Amino acid sequence: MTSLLDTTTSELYIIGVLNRGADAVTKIPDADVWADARRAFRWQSTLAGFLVVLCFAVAMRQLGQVELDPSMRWPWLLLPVPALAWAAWEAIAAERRQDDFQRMVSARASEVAYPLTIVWIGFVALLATAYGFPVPIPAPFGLPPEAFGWVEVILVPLFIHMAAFIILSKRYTSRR
Amino acid sequence: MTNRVQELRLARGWTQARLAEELDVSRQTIYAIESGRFDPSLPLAFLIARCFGLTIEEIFTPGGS
Repeated sequence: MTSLLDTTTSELYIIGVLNRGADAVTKIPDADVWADARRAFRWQSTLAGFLVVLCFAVAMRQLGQVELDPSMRWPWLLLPVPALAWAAWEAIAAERRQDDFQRMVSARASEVAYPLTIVWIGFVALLATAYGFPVPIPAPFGLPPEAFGWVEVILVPLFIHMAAFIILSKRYTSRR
Repeated sequence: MTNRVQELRLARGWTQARLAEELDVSRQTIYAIESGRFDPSLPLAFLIARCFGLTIEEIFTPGGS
């Protein structure tokens, strides 16, 4: 009698389709992507990220005040540091929880993001030389003019890495 | 490198999620291995072989994709 192991892959695919188990040969379901995300990230990471943004926003608001007492500059400057340290710790812990494949994708994303970040910094250096910071950018659609400052400069490399990670993840898990 | 992971998994009636749990890896990893886009590390290859009760050579074959 022919065992299941003697059947070809295409036959197994048909069997799999009939048994709703053929998820290997179609696009990875969103449910699985979310399951992987839940596996990799903990609520502490989200909280740490939220705290960093909050502390940064408060510190920047306080440091931007003209009438700020000079003796208060350092406390406000140091305010985000504990949250940043916690967020960095959580990021390292999340990286350690990843498996081989996720680490490989993460490394590939860094390979792409690193040179792009260098190019970005070079461009920003030229921009700063030409216009100084913050750079006034003419806003489209009659919106109030926004200033392109250091916050935007710092965020761009994070977005570059995030985009590279998402694109590479999709590339490695899409159907051949 | 070609592999029989998908074939062996389906033969057992396992979903990718079930195999991922057995190996303590992400579902994306199973998907990437089965589609031939990712070659597992040696420790993971040993884990896969142990999981199916076979040797690494019986599951993974060098060359091709």
